[in-house]
Amino acid sequence: MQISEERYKEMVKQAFDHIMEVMFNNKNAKDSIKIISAPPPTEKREIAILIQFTDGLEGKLIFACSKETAIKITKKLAGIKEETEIKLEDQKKVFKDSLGELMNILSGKMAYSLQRDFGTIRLTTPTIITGSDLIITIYDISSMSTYLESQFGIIELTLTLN
Amino acid sequence: MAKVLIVDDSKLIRNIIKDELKKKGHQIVAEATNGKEAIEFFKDKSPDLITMDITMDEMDGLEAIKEIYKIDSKAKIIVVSALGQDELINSAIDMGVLDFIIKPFEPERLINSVNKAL
Repeated sequence: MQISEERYKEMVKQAFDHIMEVMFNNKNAKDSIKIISAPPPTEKREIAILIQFTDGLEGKLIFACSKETAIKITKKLAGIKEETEIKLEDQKKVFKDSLGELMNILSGKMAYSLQRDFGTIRLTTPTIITGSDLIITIYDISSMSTYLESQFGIIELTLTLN
Repeated sequence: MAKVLIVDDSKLIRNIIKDELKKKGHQIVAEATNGKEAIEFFKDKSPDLITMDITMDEMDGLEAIKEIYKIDSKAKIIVVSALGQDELINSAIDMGVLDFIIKPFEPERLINSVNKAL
């Protein structure tokens, strides 16, 4: 069974709206995240988080964004003041903890939406990938990407299915 | 005031739970990052209540819950997980957990659950 691109985008938007409302305490969550057709060409992918779906659905969900966006999300989630610098040696650990948990919650919400079609879906713990300008290629059968414009910057979410 | 063991691989979530419970006067006796650590802390600290994540490396929360109930079948456990699928919730409830909180959660949801469990 496949997931249509329209359904995928709807699931991502709904999940993010809820996450923004509860985790970021944004009561106007529905207006704060917008799906865009493509990121600006200058947008960099420097941080990626990958979670694997297993059991009912075999695939991967990959979150990618610039380091600047990752820092903004992390500071907001962890309650770190904007002017506080996150030390370079701590960044990977801090990103894994905050963005990894964000992805865990996002993946959990998607698994919940898909349970009627695919049964119980299990998730792996998140894997973090960092680099200067990442190009991630996964050789699964199908993949869909969606781009979200948020107060933190642009977030790319890709779902690949085996 | 209850002695609470928090089990979650995310420091972010452990801090959120810890802050909310401390505000209500509960004592956090230990924080575990996986199921194996949770069992060790359970034996060592004898908490009144455990908040347990499911997806963790080393040993997941469901395995840890089984092991903890082997040690003490009356242990009070609340699951706090991003996985909210019906089958998982039902299997955790069948195992004996007192509540299943799906992340992200409002603080009141956690506090109500803890109050009810105690």
